[in-house]
Amino acid sequence: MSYVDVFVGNFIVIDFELYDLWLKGLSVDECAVALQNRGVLQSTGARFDELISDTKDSFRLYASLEQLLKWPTKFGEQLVYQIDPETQKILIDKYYQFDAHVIREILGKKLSTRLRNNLDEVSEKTKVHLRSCCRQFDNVKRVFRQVEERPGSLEKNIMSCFCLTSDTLAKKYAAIVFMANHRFETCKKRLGHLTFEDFLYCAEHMITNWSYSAAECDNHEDMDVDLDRAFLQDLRDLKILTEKQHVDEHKLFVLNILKTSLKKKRHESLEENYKTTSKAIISIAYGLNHSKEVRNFFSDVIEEVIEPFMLSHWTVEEMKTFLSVYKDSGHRLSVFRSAPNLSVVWDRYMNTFIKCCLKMYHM
Amino acid sequence: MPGTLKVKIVAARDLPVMDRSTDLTDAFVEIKMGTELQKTEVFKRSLYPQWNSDWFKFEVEDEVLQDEPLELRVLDHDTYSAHDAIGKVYIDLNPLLVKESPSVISGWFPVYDTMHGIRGDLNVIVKIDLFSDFNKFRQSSCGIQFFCTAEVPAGYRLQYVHGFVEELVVNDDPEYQWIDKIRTPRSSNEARQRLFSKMSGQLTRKIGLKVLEMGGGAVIGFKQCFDLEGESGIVIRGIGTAVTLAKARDPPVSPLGMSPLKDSQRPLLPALHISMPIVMSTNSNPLQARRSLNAPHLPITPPHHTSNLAFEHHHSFQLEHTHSACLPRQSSSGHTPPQTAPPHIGIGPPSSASHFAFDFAYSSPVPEESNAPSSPQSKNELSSTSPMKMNGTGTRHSSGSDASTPPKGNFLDCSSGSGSGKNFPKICSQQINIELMEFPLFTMTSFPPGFILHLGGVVAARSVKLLDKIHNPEEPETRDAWWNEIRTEIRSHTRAMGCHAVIGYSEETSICDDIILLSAMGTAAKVNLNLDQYQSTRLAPPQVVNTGDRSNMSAERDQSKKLYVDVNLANQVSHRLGLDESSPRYNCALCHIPYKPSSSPFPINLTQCACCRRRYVPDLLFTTINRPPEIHTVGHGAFIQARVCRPKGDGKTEVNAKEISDILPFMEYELHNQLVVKLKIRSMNCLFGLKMQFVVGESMLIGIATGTGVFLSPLPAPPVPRLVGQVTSEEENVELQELQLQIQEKLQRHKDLYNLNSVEISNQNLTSGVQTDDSDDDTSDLDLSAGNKDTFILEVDDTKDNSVKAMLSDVLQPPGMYVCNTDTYPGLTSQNLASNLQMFTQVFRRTVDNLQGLNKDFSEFFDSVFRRLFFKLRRMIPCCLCNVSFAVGAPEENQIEIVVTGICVRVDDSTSQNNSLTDNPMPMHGLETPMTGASSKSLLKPVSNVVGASGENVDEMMFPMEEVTEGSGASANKAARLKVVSNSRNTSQVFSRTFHGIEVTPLAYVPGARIERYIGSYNFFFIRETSSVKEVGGVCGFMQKFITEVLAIVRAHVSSLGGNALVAYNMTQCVLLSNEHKNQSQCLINVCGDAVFASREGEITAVVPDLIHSRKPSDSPSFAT
Repeated sequence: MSYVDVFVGNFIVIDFELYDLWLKGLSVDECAVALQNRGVLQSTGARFDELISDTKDSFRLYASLEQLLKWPTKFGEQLVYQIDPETQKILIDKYYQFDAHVIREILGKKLSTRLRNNLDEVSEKTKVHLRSCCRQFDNVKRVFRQVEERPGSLEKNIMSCFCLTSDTLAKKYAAIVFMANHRFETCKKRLGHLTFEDFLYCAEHMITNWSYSAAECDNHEDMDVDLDRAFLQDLRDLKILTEKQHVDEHKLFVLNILKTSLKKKRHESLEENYKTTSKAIISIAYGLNHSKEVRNFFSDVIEEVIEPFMLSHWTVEEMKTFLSVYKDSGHRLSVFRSAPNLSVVWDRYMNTFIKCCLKMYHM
Repeated sequence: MPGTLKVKIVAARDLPVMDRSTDLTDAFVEIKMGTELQKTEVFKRSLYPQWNSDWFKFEVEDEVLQDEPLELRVLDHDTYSAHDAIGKVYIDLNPLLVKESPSVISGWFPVYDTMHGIRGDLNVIVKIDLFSDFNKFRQSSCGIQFFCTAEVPAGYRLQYVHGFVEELVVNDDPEYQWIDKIRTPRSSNEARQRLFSKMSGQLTRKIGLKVLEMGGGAVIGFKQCFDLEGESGIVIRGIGTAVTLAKARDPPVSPLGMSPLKDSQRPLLPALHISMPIVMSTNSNPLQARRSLNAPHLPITPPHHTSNLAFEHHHSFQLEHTHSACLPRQSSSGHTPPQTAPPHIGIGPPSSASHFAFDFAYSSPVPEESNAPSSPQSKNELSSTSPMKMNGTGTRHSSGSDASTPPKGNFLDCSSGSGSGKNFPKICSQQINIELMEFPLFTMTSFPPGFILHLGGVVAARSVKLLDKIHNPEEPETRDAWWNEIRTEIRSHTRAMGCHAVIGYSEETSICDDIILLSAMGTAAKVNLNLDQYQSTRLAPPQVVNTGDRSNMSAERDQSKKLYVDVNLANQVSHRLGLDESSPRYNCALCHIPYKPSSSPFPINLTQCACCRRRYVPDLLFTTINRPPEIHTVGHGAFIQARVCRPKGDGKTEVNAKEISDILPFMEYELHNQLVVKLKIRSMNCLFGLKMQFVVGESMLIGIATGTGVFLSPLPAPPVPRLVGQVTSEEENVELQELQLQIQEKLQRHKDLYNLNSVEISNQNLTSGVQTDDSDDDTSDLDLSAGNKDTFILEVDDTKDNSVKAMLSDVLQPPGMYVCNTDTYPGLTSQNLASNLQMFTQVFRRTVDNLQGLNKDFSEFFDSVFRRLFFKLRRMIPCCLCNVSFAVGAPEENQIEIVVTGICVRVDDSTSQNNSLTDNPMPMHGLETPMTGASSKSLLKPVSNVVGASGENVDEMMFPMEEVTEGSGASANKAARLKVVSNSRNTSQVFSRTFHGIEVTPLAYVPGARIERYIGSYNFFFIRETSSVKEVGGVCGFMQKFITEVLAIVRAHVSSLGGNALVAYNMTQCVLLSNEHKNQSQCLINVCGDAVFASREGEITAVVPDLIHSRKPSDSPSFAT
């Protein structure tokens, strides 16, 4: 009804209650109703249409701030909005927050326009407003584009490019970018039970141990979005472990040690499955050299390593025992003694692999 | 006397993409000063060009420097077609022309385009080398400082007031020239912006020249107004008060150590010593001239369409309508309140009004001064001056009845008091005689202590004119004549009130098609112009002097010559250093009527002053000024607003003008009536900061009046309003009683809200005291016990009539929020106002559906605006909305626009208890007198002890006024108190916001900070247009963006001058034109203010750089070269 109704201040003062609702993607009316239900009108005697107009006003402001929020470094070099650093920080941090279950849906996918156009499905599935889904998608895509080609630590790059003050948030984005970069397959049915946190955990470990920023890597100049190429090449050498003599030797070690710590039934089933399991673990390792195999890392782990154990109802503890023994006994193999480098690669691979595997091992 | 202007273009950032193919820009900058144009090199393919150019030099006359801004134009280089404009930066060079201001302008300026808004920033360094020509201040007026601040700027001392200065510049509006049909909107807007800026430069230069002629050095309370007359052109008007300022010493440094310096403190005046008021009009008989001017166009309403109304302390008011045909209608209209019986209405030709002006003009100062024998010297002087005063009055008698030309050549000092013995001759030669001023109008709204002697009441004059009847639209003569007419009228009203000056004076216009409504208003007062340091102490209220303690003290100080220090302190300190309220030097004389009770110009209820019980005071006092610190108030202030909106016929030209001028007095009366009722419902008796605005729209007339109501202790408590109505049936009677009950409830609620519960009790005592205590000689011709002064009667014609109800149903602010339209909130001290939270601008425009319920709708609009404001700022509670000002408009048929500006200041609760303590000086006095000379440390403790007790003491504060003022004044005491203040401020600082940024505030001060220096006044006219309204978020989005951008540019200019705040900010114009069908909008905004540097105590002024918001190198002074 009112034709012009604006409120402008010298300082940008954000009503974060409203800002949160805006980020959630609520429309002006939904937002006003939500606020009214919280009783904001009681203290001042304002009426509903005034609440609506105030909400509209704030939404307009947020929409114009959004241009800056998309490239937060611009906050420092603009004069249009006078915002105190504290508010600025909260604004940005909140803007880059996301819903784990929304991100889960787009994790590892190609961040294409087609995917963006299909976000309404995500919205329907997650019950998150489409606008919010779009914002989260756009954030991920922008972060990805910005740091994709940038050398240095992924996490630090994200923090500085997007002025994020919380390193946990930056870490999450690093993981998402990492996943997106390698296009990890996350949508297969057998991966359906994995949550965003599971992937986050795995990705973080991959970044710290397998990428260029890993301690074992001596060439830190490249980006840690990518896996350490030298490491991947070294992984090829593990193929030797699939040779019969080594498999048998390894099996002997493992089963011997586990004889005491595992129940008999488990021990027997392991004896049966050992060969396929070991082969799977090692083939995943040297497969990482091919980007297509990298993509299927999670589904391969689930399908070839985890599922057989699940079927025979192994507990996480038992799984953990087996895997650590499997890793440790590897060092006793004769082949490792002849090639000392192999032992380093083995540890580097197995440590992270075990962590990922156990994380994904949902009962 | 040229100067060399040097400009260095450093860099730009965040430029827009101008070349789609590369997504980059080939930028270069054109530097234009006057007619000379220079260019930088093209910086290829970058949105962040770094020119780092050499110095571009321009040799310019200083007249040009004053008139024209430096124009920087950023362009995108194009080899084949014309270069594309990116945007412009205008830099006003005036701040560089004043000594003692910055020598360099340096920083990032937003690149502004009238079609696209801000597009990146440009980093520039500007310097001027002025040739040191001894005579340089003669021809141009460089060096005259302009302050929008309507009071003595902080850190300065008022030395001389030279009087009113005005100027008017007329030009063609480029928007109405034929060329506008063929040029792009951008070039049209830019031509207009350039013109506005040039005209404004001319205006200030011309005013500066006038000030030089008068011997002044600065203009304070400077106001510029733009009248967009349409076809007949653009008019820029400027008014201000010419003064001589002297740099005040830093008060906290060493207040006591200043006394030896007093002689060196005299300022070095420019060559002109004796200031003569200059007479602008050469017309010896303006009245005659006016007639001849208007007669041909408006034969029906002679001599001019002026309806003026001078309403004073009371609901009785005087209608001075020159059109006698109107009078019967007035008296029979039934609008008149019971007090205003027909015989009281001032009728007749203008000259009759001025008759009684002289009988009592200068009677009161004489007895008052003789009551104040602070030193034998001054007594002698007084006896010698008083006969001359009589003489002066006599002259006025003979020549003044025409009220057009003031007597000239009268060098006698008619204002009370003069310098003390030693300096007497010297001062006399420089004294400014108010009687010599053609227009004794002062645009300031706050005054140094001792300046105001008595307050009369509000005076106003209005006049309706036809724009298409201007003979020479390009020449300013006609408009000059119009304003002279109005000012003359104001002056005659003032004299009718026994006053000789108008303070808090302002002028404004409203234009609709060919109708222009000119209005002026101010507060009639008696002032003391020769406010030298010695006098203001002598002007201490009589009751102060009478108490033994005080006179001893002052005598003592007279001997030791420390008097000077004291005043000097008061002078500076009154400017928000937190001492104005804490030094309880209250002076009830300000409220005393400036005329003899027997010859009051209008029927008025007079009572004895509740403080001194010697003189008379009116029962209501309306003023346009901020609350003088000398006046004692009780409780809190209330924002009071009256609104009237009336439909108007669609007559043309003369008919229209006639209709408007006929309606105006009735609207004015209604506004006044609303104000009175609203005041009384709040148990208050005085209005400060009264502003009135009348707007002519196509189909309606709008009038609003806003002010801050307070309870003044010298004035009587207002009686409870009682309803009286023609009751014909039992039902109506019941309704009437209900209404009466409502009023009662409302009254109680207000009393609680404004902390006024103590008032009534004390007042009853007082009135009884007055009635029995018949001690004063003057009472003879006034029967104080008679009349209806105990009741205030509200007449209700019809119980269905909602007007009374409407007056009761104001939107009240939520608890913890205070609202006022003055600079400070009555009831809160400056310590309570801890820091600025938010300066806000609210633009609100609505369409009125039907003209029937116009008035109700109209009120509802305002209520809605208030509710929104309160809602928006609810999270800032506890806070105080200061200087809330309203500007209404009727932009199109059936449309109403309201623009609200103000500032939300954080209220510090931790000291709010101290507040009631300073508000009630009694306990303070009790504690402090024995403490004189005690160390400041020991003072701290008792003060904080009092906090708890102070609450109970409020109730008694009405009585012991004589004692209250007793302890004021000792300089040692003051110095000690100063420390207390600064200490308490330090503690409050802990809770304040850490980020300050660039403050923009309509106040004359920065809460929680001290203004270190004034850097220059800023005034700019912005035009913004768009042909894609929908794309920018509709008209709302467009407006929001534009206002945000304007503020951003203002801040950039302040920061480039090395300032961190803009005080006295005012959005003088905000015109929005919109055509949503064409997807077009255009908006014009004019803003002004004073750039200052303010420092906060215990704070490092440089903002600590942080990761995100890193400071630009140019912001630090090291970058200057």
